[in-house]
Amino acid sequence: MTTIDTPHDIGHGGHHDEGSYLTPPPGGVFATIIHWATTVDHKKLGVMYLGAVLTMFLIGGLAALAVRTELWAPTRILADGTATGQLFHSAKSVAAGYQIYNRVFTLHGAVMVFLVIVPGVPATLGNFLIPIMVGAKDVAFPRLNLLSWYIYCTGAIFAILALLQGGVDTGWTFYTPYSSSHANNAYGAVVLMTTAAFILGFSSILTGLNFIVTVHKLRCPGMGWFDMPLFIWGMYATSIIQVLATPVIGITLLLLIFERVFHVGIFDPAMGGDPVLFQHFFWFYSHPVVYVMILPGMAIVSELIAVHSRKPIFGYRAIAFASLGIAAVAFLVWGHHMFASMGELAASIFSALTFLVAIPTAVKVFNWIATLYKGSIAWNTPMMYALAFLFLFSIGGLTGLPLATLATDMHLHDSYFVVAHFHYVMMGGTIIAFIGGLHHWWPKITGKMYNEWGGLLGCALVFIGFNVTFFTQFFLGTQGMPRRYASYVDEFQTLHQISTVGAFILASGMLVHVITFLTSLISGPKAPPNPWGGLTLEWYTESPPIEHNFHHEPIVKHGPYDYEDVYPPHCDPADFPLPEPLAAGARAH
Amino acid sequence: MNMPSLSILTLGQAADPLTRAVFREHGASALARDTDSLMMWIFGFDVIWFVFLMALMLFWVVKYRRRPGVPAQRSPHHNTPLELAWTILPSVFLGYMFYRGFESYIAKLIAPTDSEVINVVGQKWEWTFTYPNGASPPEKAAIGGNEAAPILYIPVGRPIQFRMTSNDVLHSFWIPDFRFKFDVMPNRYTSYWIQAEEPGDHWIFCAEYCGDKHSEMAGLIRAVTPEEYAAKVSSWQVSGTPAERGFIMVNSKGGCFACHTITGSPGIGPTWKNAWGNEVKLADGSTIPADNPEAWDNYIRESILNPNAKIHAGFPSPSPMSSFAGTFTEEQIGWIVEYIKSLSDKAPAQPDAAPKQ
Repeated sequence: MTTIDTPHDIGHGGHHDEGSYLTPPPGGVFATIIHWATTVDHKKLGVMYLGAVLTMFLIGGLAALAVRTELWAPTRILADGTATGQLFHSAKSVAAGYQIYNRVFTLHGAVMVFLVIVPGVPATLGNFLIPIMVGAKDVAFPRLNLLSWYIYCTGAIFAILALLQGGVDTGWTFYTPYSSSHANNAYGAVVLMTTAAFILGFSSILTGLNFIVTVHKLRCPGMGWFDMPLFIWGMYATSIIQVLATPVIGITLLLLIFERVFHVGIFDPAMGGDPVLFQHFFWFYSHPVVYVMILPGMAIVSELIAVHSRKPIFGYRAIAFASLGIAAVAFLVWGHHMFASMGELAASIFSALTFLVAIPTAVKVFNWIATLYKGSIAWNTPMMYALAFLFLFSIGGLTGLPLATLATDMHLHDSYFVVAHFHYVMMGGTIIAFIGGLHHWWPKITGKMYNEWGGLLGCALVFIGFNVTFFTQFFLGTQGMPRRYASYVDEFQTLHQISTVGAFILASGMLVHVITFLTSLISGPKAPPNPWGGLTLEWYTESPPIEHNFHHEPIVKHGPYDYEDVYPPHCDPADFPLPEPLAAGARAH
Repeated sequence: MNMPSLSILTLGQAADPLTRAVFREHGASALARDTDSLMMWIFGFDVIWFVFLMALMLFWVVKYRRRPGVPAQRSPHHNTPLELAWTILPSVFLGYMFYRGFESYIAKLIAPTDSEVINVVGQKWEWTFTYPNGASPPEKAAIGGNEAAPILYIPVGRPIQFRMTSNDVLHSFWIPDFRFKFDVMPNRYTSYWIQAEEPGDHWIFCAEYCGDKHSEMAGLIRAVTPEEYAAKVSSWQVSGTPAERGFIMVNSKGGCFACHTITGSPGIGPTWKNAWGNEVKLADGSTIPADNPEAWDNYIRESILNPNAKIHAGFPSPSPMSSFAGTFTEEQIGWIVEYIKSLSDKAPAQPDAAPKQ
């Protein structure tokens, strides 16, 4: 049962003999650099984004380790005026040491949000996979895609400039009037940082636009909307939010720059503005963006669970519609970031709406777990990451409930409970899914297999380290530890120390992954076209894919998850046996 | 026969291990304990769902692990009644959570009309309080790294409403033991109320990031008997020489010692010791001349009302200090000038020295 129209077996390309996209052009290193720097190939752009995003992840991660190290012990001022317990010493004063801490946690937050998690999955795996998964040669607007990449680079350069100017101490949320009138703004670092976020927004918008048109217009023959892999559904919902919400943050940050530079009173009451207005503007973007961060993670997990348990996703349509439902409700709940600064009526309405978003999210988790039933579940790194996602994301989702509930949120708001909650969602959700997806598609992207034991060891360390780091922070929060504190009362030290130990276990897991991937690149065995027995279109082409993805335009004749009825391409049928065929007259469900 | 009831009584007073792990202590008021019980109910709901889902997941992951040559079995791809059930059932619980949260939130936010109103002002990086009689609490406690966190005395058994505003950026007035906070903003009053049941101390933390010493912006609520409270507050009514009153202003109302010292070594701002009447170089190159009392009095007044007007050379520009216009009346600024003058070797001899910090 063939599913796509391939007159020639791969490897015997005949007159369509075409090299892998990684084949360097003739003319040496310089020609290769020019070739990559001017490429409009979605795969090369995806790989370049991957390099950039992982570099930024390293910077943000090192900042996180610095934060955890500083919090090992509270700062105490000795009789001679010096301080103990400060990693970030400053000869000037204890307060100057705190100021360095404030810049480091801002760096961590801003880099992780604007340069890693928001662009992370769409720009890397999305860019690489969306055209292949819909059976196209490239995205709808390949040159626009190249432009997005250079806009991202420009934004990243502005962020690094802000860093080199001494950094920003506003927190990644840039709350006014602190950011507009009070924050330490040596050499315009605040303006540089907000400009960076403003520029990065354009990269998001253009990428989102590109993906929406690609999904609408470039699906290959035979692929209706409900024949699309759920990865595409998730990316599609993500792109809609990016296009609709990102302009708002652009305008808001521009207004902030205007206030800072030209002293136009918009947010600072000293100039006649209103600081809460900034919070409304900021969260009107930044709450939907939470779903820009998590929907791609959900999109990856849908693929991982289906492929590695060899089961059709349970309730495919429910998951697809839940993605769109989350995208829609995402625009109505921004106020729950402001329960402590808004009136009772608004807070009550936003609290009720926030509970609404819990429903489609819960439905997705139920569907993923139900998919495992009667499956053939592989115990490999991608699957373990998918399970880790279900574990961590469930905790993240369930701990959102006391934050949506007004009375309990008024205690937990801006405490370590919130810090733990959003790390369980953002890192335990998105980043964990991203690493799982990276393992899953690594053979396709690089053409090399990775060492399975290395992947599993890294996964175990990351999972344990993550829980040790962040589960303790729930208790810090309920006991009264506010977030963004450079020091604390003695009662909180034990929990802080446990959390810091966890952060280093987590980092060691990441190091294992880096080593595994580098070893794979240098000496990994060549990857077959379809190592996991997948049925989506990327597994029909070679590993790594050829320059134009497919020798012929594919024609889809089965669903993306018909593991019960279709032998996967390029695989030994004995490796992926099918269940008994249905009796004549019986209908598939 | 009395033993069981006795032990229950003891349990009711000391925090049980679970409460200790989650909250350190029981909530300090009936409303705070109501929040605790709601929170524990939600956590219980969370734990039940989480354990159920994870047990199911792990059971299936083990039971249906891949074996060579064994295919996955067929099973339904969806099941509408099941999917409707797991959409509607959680919604009912979430509806209950919303209602309980809303009810308790309104109760903690809206103060009874007979509350005693205490003014709370947040400024980088100090809380200051003013009682209805105009007095401000002068006593200090060490909380974390802050050696001089203000102690706010309140009476037990009476509703206390905080009327809060900020002199500069956003702050947030969090009293963890009462399970409530609200943001403190520079362009409006915000408010909530508490009622202590027993004498005791409770931390106050700033929960909205406000800059360098955000983590030291702490305070202490000390609940005492109404008699002790009345005695304390009336004893702090402002009296004494102008310089003594000036000290009360800068210590209790202005929180000036967060940045200024009277030791001679500068803090975040210039020291006040031997400042008045001596020459000061300004950032723009001009000077405040020595032995010119009028220039010095004006310099102090202007710096209180508009800290950026004249920057002391060697200190940050723009100044991290916020304007105290509206915090101090002109009369009170006059007292502060007298106090700073009394710290200087150039000051005319005083019959009785002002109190030192």
